[in-house]
Amino acid sequence: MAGRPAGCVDRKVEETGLNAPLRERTGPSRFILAGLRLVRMRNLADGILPLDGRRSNVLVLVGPNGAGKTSLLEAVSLLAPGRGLRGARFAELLRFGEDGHLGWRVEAALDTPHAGRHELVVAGRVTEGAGAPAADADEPGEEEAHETVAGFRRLIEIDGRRRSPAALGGIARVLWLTPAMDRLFAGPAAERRRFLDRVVLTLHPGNARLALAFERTMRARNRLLGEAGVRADASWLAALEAKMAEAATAIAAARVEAVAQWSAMLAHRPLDGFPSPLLGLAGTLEEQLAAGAPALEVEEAYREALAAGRARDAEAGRTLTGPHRTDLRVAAADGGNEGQVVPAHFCSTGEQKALLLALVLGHAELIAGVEGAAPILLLDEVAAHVDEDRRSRLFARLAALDGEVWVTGTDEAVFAPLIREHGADRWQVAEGCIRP
Amino acid sequence: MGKQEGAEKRMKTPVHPRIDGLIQAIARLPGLGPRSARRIVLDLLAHRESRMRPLAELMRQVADEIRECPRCGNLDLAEPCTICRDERRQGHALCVVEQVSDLWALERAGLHRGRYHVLGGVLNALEGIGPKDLRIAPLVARIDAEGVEEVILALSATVDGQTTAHYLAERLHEKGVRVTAIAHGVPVGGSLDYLDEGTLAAALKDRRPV
Repeated sequence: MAGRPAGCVDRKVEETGLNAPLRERTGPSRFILAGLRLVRMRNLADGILPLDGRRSNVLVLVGPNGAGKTSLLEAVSLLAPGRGLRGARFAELLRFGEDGHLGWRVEAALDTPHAGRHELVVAGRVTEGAGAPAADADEPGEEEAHETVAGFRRLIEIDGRRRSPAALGGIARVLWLTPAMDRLFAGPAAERRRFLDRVVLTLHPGNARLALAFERTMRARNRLLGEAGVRADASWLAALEAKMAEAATAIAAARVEAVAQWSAMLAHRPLDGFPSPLLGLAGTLEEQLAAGAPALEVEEAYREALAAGRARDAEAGRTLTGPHRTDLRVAAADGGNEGQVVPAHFCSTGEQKALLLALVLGHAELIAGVEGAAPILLLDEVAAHVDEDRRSRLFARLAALDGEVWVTGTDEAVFAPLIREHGADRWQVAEGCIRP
Repeated sequence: MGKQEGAEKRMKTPVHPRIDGLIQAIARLPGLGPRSARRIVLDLLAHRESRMRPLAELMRQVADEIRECPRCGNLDLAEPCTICRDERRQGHALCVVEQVSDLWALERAGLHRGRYHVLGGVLNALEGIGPKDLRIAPLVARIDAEGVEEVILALSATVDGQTTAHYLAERLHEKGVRVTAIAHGVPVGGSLDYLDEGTLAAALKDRRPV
C-alpha cells in the first residue's frame, strides 16, 4: 500500500467480503461479477470493489485521463485466458515500485449461468530462481512453462485449486473493445486474426490447444528446414506436416463456423443507425471449407502443399501458407445507400468505430444466444467518435443485453441517458481510487 | 557465511555450504523444489542411521549394478533384461514406449504379453532431439532380428508424442510390419460431459464397430 491515499475503499464494503450474497435481481442466467479484489495492480488502489451495492449490472466508470479506468477494465479482462485487454506482459501489471516477489493479484467471485459461483484468483509474481520456473516444482501446476516471462509467472486458482491458464476459458466469458483497437481494419492482418481467434475461443474454448499444437509443430518444421533445408529428415518433416494439417484444418473449421454464426447474429439483430458489418475469411483452408470441401480433403491438400513447399519455406525461413496467415475481412453494408458495400479500411474513423461496436455487440449477443448468458463486456472510451444518435441506440442495446457491461469515459454527460433511462450505476475513478 | 556458487545471493543463510549443496542437488530432481529438498535433507539428518546411511548405500549399489538393457532399454540387473530373456513372452508383438516408467506402468497392468522397446524420449525439434537421439535405429533392427509382426506404439497423446508415432509409423511401414497405436479418448469410468473437445474428437475419430 506504499504511498496510496488512505480511505480509498469503503470500510463497510470491505467487511462484507467477497462472499457476500448478491442481491436477488441478479439471476443465474448471466456472467455476473459478485466481487472483485485488486492487489498491487498498476496504479489502482488495493481493495475490494463494492460491486454488490450496485443497482444495475451496467457500470459507467468516469474519470480523467490516467485515473485508472482502463487498468480496472484490464484487471477484469484477466479473468479470461490470455494477457488481458492491453496484451501486457505479466510483469507490467505490477504497480510501479512494488516487490515482484509479492506480485499482483486479482480475486473475483463470478456467478456463472450453469455452474453457480466460482472463486477465481489470477496472480502474477516473480518465482523463486527467476528465469528458471521449473526449478521450483513444490507447487504442482500444469502447462506453466510457457507462462513465464522475465521471471514473472501467472498463477491461476479456481475455487481454491491451482489450475492451468486454459481452465479460465471454461469459466469466464469476457469481451472488450479499447481505443487501441480503433486501427484494427487499417492495421496488419495479425491483429484481425487475433481478434477473430478470441471470438472463436469464446465459442470453442478447446481451440486453445489446437492453436498451441499448430504453433509448436510449425516451429519445429521451421527449425528443421532452417537447420538442414530440404535435406532435413523427410519422415520427420512428413510427421510434423501431418500434425500441422490436422490442427490447421480444425482451427480453420472452427473459424468458418464461428464467422457463420457471428454473421447470422449480425444479420438477425442489426444495430439500427450503424453500418452493418459483413464478414469474410481470406485464407486457403477457410475458403475451401466455406465452399463445402470435406475436412479430410482440405487436410490432405494442406499436407501436400506443405510437402511441396519445403524448399520455398526453407528459403523464406518460415511457413508461407496456413491458418497463421488468414485474414478477417470486414466490410460495411450501408443501410442508407442501397446495397453499397465498402471495405472497412476505406471507411471513416467514425464508421470504423461504429463497425467495431456492432461487431463486439454482435459477438456478445452471439454468446448470450449460444450460452444462454450474456458475457462480461468491457468498453473502454466507448463514446469517442460516436455521435449522439448512435450513442443512445447503443446504450439501449447494452442495457438490453442484461449482462455485466462496464463502460468508461472522461465526460460524464455523454452517459446521462445510460444512467438516467437505463438505471446504470456511475462510479468515479480518480488517481487509482474507485468510488461509487 | 561463505559465497555459494552465486545461487543464493538474495539473502544470507545460516546453512553450511555442504548441507546447502545437498539441498540444491536434491532440489534439481524431478518433482522436487527447494522447499521439499530442505525438508528431505532435514529429515535425513534427523534419522542418519535408520534412513540416511541405508539410502546412501542403496544408491551406491543401484548406481553400480543396474544396467540399461542393450536390446530394449529397460533397466535391470541382468543383461539382456529379464523381460527380453523370458522365453514365454511372445516375440511377434513389440510394444514401443517413451520411457522405462511407461514400460513399468504397462507391466503393472500385466496386459502386454510381448516384449518392449524403450525409445528414451520423443522427437522434439525445438529442443534438438532428433531420431538419432532416440533408440529408433535399434528398433528398426529388431523387426527383422526378432521376427516382429506387430509394433504397438504406446506413446503419449501430446503433440510431440503423436508426431513421433507418425514418424515411426512411416519408418516402419517400409519394413512391412503391422503398426498399431493405442487408442485415445474417453477414459474408462469417464462421462462425455466432462471431456474437452480435443479428447472427444479423438474418441469419435477412433470409433469402432460394436
